[in-house]
Amino acid sequence: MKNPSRRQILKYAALGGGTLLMPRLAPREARAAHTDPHFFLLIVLNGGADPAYMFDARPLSMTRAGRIQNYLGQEPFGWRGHNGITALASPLVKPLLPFRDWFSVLNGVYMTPGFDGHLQNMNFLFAGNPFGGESFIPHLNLAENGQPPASLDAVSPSDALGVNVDNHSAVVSLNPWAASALAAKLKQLRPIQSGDPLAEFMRGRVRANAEGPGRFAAGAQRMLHGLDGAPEVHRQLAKLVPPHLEAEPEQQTADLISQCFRQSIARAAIYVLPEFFDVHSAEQAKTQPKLFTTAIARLAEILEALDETPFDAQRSMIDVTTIMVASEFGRTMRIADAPIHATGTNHNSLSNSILLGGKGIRGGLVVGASDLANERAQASGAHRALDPALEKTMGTPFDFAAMRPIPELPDEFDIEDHLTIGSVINTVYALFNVSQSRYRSLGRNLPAAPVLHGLLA
Amino acid sequence: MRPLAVFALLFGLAAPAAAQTSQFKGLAAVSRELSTRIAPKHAPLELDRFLPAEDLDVLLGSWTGFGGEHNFKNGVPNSLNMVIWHATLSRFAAAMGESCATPRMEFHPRFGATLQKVCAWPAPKAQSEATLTAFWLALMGYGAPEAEYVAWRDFFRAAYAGKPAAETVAAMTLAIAMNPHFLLHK
Repeated sequence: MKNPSRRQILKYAALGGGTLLMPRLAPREARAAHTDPHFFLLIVLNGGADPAYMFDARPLSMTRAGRIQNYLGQEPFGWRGHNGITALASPLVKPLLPFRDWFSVLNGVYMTPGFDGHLQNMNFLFAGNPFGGESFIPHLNLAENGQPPASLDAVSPSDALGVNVDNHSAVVSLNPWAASALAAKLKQLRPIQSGDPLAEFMRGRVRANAEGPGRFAAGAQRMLHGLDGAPEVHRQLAKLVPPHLEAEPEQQTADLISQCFRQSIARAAIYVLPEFFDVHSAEQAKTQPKLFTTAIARLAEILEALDETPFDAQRSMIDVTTIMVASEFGRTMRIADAPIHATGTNHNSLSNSILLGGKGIRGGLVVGASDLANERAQASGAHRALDPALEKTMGTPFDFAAMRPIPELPDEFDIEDHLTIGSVINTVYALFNVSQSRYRSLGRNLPAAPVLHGLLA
Repeated sequence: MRPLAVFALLFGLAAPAAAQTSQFKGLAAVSRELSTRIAPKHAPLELDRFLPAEDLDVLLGSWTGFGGEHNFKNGVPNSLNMVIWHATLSRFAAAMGESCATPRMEFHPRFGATLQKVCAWPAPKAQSEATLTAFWLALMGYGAPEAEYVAWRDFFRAAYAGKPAAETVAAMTLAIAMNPHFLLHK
C-alpha cells in the first residue's frame, strides 16, 4: 500500500481521525473560545539576511561590474506586485510562489539609525530602541486591545534570540519535544490548587514578600502573577498532543504553534530559523545559496503547514494568523578591496526586506524599494552622506499615501520620507488594536511612524 | 563630552525594567546550593533528575552567550516557569518525604541525621525548635529573614500536627523550595 501523503495525513487529522495535528480542543470549542481569533507569528532570519538572495536582488550585470556579490550566479526575475510595482527576486524564492498572493514584500526598510551591530538592530526590531526596552510582542496580548489575553504572550519553539527586552517574561521558549514531554508529565501531576492549605501557605509567603518596593519584591510579584496563571497553563499544556515523530521539524513547529494558539496558551509565536546569515568572510558568503535554499524551504513548509492546519470548521491557521518574516538588517553589497568573486558582506541597517502576510494584510503587493538598482544607478546625496563608500543599498524615499517609492535623489536624509521598521510595527499594532500611545515614533520630537494603511486588508 | 552624555541618556532611558526585578537563580544554581547543604561531596545532588522533561532547565533561568554578550535568559517568573518549578520541586520534595522510609538520594551525614529527626513527625521531638530550625537552615540556608522561618514553623505545627511523616516532610520541603528567598536572586 502506498504511504499516504502528508496532505492526506493532515486532512485525516483535521477530520478528527488522528492525533497528528488535531489539538484536543475541537474546532467548535476553538470558535467559542475566540470571538475574533487573531494571532501573530514572527519568523526571524537571524544574523542579518541579505535581501539580494530573496526579494531585493540585483541583475548579474551589476555583479559583472563589480558592484555586488552574487554567489548564485543566476539572473533574478521580476516579482510583480498587484500594485504594479516590481521587485527583482532571486530564483531562490520560487518555493514561495504558491503563497505570492498571501503575503506582501516590503523592501528598502530602514532599521536602526546610527548603529550597525546585531544586538542593537535586533533590539530596534523588537523594542524600537538600539539598547532594548519594551518588546512589541507582549503589546499584542494586552487586555486593553479588546481581546482576552492568552496565558502567555508568546511561545518560541526555537533557540533563544539575542535581544535585550524587559517584558518577555511571558515569552517562553518551548520546543515541540520539550512541550510533548512536559505535557505527558503534567497529565500525571496535580496543578497548584487554590484552596489546598499548603498551596495557600506557599502563595501567602510569596504575597507577603511581594509587598513593598525593591527588586526582590518585584520578583516576588512576578512569582505571584505566575502562580495565579499556573493552574490554567498547567491544564492547557497538559492538553498538548505530541507532534508526530515522522513529521518534519517545521511541521512540528507549526503544529505546536497552532495548538498554543487554539488553546489560548499564547497570542503570538517567535520562530528563529536555525540558519545564521552573518557572512562577513567570502567563505561564509559563498554558502548563501545553500543557506537561503534551506531557509526558504523551511518558510514554505511552515506556511503550508499553517495553511493545512484547521483552526475551526471554516478557517485554517493561516486565516487567523498575521505572519511577519524579518531579519535585524540587510547586508552590504560587498566588502571594499576584496575581489567581487571572493568577498563577504557586512551589516546594512539602511535597507532591509520584510515579508508581511496573513490575517488583516493585503497580500501580493510590493511596497518600498532600495536604491542602486543597477550598475548605472546614481546614489543620492542623502545616501552618500550615510554611506560614502556606497557599499550599501538604501531605502528610497517613500510616498505613504500612494504606497509607492519616490524616484527622487534627495540631497539630505529625512527619516520622515522613508519606510522604517517603525511603520511596519505600527501597522502590526493597528491590526491588533494596540493603543496609539504605544506607536513607535520616528525619533525624538518626531511624529509616530506612519501606519501602512494600504497594506491593511 | 557631549556624545558621552547622549549615550548615557539613551542608555539610561533604555535601562531594562527586568533589571529592576529579581530573577530566578536558575536550576543549576539552586541545585548547587542544595547540593552543598544536604549532599555529600562525592555525590552532588542534581535537581535535573526531578525535571518533568529533559531540556526544561533553560526555562528556569540560564545563561546564554551571543558573541561577546552573555545574558541570563528566562529568569523572570511567569506562569510557565512556575508550573515547571512546581512540578520539579514537588518531585524533589516527594523524594525527600519518601526518604524517611528508604533513602531516595544520598545525604550528607549531618543532614541525614536532621532528616531522621524530622521524620519522627508528629512526635514532639520532631516538632521541637531545634529540629525544625536545623531542617529549615539545611534547605533554605541563611538568606531568609526569621519571619519566614516562623511562618513556616507555625504553619506546619498547626496544619500538619497529626499528619504522617512522609507527607509532612515532603510538604515542608516544597514550602521551603517554593519560597521566593529560595528561588530568587537577591
